Amino acid sequence: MWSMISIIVLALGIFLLEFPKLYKKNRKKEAWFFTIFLLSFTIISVLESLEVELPNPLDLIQTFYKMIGF
Amino acid sequence: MDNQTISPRQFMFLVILFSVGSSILIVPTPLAANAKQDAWISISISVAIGLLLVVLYNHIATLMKGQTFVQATIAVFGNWFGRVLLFFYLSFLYILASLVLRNIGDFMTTQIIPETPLQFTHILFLIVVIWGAYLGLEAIGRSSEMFMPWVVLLVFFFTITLSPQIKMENLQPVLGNGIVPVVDTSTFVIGTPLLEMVTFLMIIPYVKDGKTKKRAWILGTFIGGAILTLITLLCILILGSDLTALNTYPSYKLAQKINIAGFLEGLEIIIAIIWMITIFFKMVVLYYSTTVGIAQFLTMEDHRPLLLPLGMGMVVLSIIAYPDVAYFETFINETWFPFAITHGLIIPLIVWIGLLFKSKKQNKTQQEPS
Amino acid sequence: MLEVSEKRHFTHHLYESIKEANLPIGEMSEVEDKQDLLKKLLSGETILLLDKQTKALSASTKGWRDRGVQETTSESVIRGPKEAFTETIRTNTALLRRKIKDPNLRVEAKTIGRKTCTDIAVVYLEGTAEKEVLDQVKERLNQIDIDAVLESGYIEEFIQDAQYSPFPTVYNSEKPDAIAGGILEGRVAILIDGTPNVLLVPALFVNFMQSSEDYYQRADIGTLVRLLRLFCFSVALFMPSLYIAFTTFHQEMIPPPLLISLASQREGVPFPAFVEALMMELTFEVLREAGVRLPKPVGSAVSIVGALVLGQSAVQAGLVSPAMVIVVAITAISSFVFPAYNMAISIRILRFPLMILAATFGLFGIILGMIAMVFHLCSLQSFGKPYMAPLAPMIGKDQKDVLIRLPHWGLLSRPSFFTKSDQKRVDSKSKER
Repeated sequence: MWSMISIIVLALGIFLLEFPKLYKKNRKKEAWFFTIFLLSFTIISVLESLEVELPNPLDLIQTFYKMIGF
Repeated sequence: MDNQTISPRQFMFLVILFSVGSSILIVPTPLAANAKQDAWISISISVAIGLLLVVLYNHIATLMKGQTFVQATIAVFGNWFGRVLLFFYLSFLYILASLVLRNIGDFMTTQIIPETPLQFTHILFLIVVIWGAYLGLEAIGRSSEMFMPWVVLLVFFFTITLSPQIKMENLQPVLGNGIVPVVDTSTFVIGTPLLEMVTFLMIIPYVKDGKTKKRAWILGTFIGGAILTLITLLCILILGSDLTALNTYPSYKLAQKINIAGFLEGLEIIIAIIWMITIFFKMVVLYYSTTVGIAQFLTMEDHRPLLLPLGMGMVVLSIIAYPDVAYFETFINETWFPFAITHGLIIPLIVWIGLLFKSKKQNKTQQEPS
Repeated sequence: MLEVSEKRHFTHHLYESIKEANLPIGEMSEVEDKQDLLKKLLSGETILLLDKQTKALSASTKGWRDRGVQETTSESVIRGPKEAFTETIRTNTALLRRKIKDPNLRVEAKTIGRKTCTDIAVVYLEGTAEKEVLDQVKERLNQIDIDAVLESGYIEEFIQDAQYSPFPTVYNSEKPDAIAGGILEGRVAILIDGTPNVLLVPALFVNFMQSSEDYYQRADIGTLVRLLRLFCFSVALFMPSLYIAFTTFHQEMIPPPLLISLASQREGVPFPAFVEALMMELTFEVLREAGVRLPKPVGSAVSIVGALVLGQSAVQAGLVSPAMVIVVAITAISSFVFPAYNMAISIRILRFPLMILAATFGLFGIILGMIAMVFHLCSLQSFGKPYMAPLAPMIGKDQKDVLIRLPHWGLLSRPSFFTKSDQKRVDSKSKER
């Protein structure tokens, strides 16, 4: 519970740190990408803190290379 | 991004620190396990092959004409196919960075600060890495000049203080198991750190032009490889190949053996600091190139807004990457080499061929009017 | 009608002759409007008004009370000139002129401050000082629009490069020889009326580690003292945090006999090492601040309270361990070694975050703190010069006067990071015998 709250607080902090700068300079594309990245990674972090089993990209890589015969 | 440049010497230092960082912790164990007392031979073989690899990278860098790998690939292959290639390249860098982060986290939490949870170690380390990447390439290059003398000095100190304990018989018999396992094992060092050098294709456009620019990368790889060879050799000479293979961090175990005149002991912490600094530089170079790469991939003007969000993802990825050491060992021993070959050799080769065709075409169009 | 014009002609003639020849005063200027006239009158000049003339003459007859050139109080030396700048800008420029009698020494006057009209002088060696730096200094000075300038600190905050950094990027000194040395290296001095502290730019990290006395003692001694200062820099910065890290996280790395003695000392102490260290460091900072502000007769009282009551009694009462007192004492003495007070302050500040990092992450935290600090230092600039030059970027031929100091006959050229032109300092033949 606490780790979830701190992650969200952290994400909000990052948002408040970076977003106003981008908004002032009127960099719409940067602001969008920043928000998308931040939002998705915050969700992933929250899921991880709730001990949800996340897919591991390393598993994927391993099965791929096993498939082609390494 | 923001026209910061570094000097060839700073670039060379970064290459040295990059090739030593993290490999110094993880390389000796599997080498000693497979090649036994000949581990140092297989590492020398791989450094020699690595130098050839760097020649190729250097050639690609010349063909890129001041563009980064990301910009050049998009320019050659266009938006669609270029971006598919780059997606794999950048995800390779990102995964590599999170694995390096996990390496230092594992080392710290098992050897130095066992009380601290892994994720806090990662977060603190990454915050400083982000700080470095935020300040830009100039600060990274200059800092490498500040730390390089210490690294060199302490590697010397390390070698000299350990030299009385060297047992030459640990090396014998030379090639006792035949050449096959030695050559086989050399793929390990080619996978890490030599193929990982593909990262520097993102950095090299920012190196100031000069005679030494090309030499810097090769010389840096050579010196970094020499340090790796030296440390592996010392591990085998002092601990013996069996003990080296059994230890998770033989180079750290080695430092615990330092004993000067019976009272100066426990100097391994200094060695741990040096390994930490080298890993830090590897991490900062990786993180900087990854974020700059992603920013250029998305045609953003500045990479700095991406630093913190991507860092959040990296902490999670570094923790879920492997549940235990056994998983990591099978991954690094079996999957890493083909994975690194795909991204460190095949993708650059494809881009290289594309660049060659493009420059030939350009030459033709330049020659025709005249 | 004719009379009037004759009269005007006569006074004009008189005016011209007074202006040209008849007043034996060095500085004369013409004043044309009332506002200007008032300003000059109020700053102590004598105004000469002539009938039927639209212009007035103003003679510089300023005579401020000042305390005269006295010995320096904040930067004392054993060997070398003891004089210090005063509050009067004229005296200060004269002190510099006396040291550098080169015709290329330029003094450019300026006034800043809408209400105070403070005189400011930019002093440099024409041809040696780099033009880009000079232009930047002038540009930044011209931008300042403030009502009052009472001390050089006002100007420093306007012209410094890094606003949010604990490290100073403008050097200041009250010793004419230190400033003259800087000007001779091709740097630019900024003198401000009303304060003995003169600014010098660009200022690099290594400048704060050096004292003018390094050049007056023999070269080997100067070198050793510089290395000692570097050692003290790291002690002042890392000592308390290392103590905390080793006693709380890495006991296994302390040699056993020392560990036993430390542990027995800490036995009765009710606080964790971090709280203990923080308490003692804070106490010391308070003592130091009190020592600066105290009237001199009371000063000895503070030292008694500090040494006896806080040092000895705290140990006897079992509040802190003796080892901690030693650590704090060494740290404190080491931080007094720096010739530059503003650098010593930044070290004092940085000690505390490092202590927090040490208390939470042990050595790992300290090293990361150090790396972050070095990265920050390497990213700083002072008037376009990289702050860590000539260490990073490494400039081989300038190492002769950084961590070590070669003898004066070996300092053949000026530091190349300040000036590219007029490099020659010593003729290499002057040592031939």
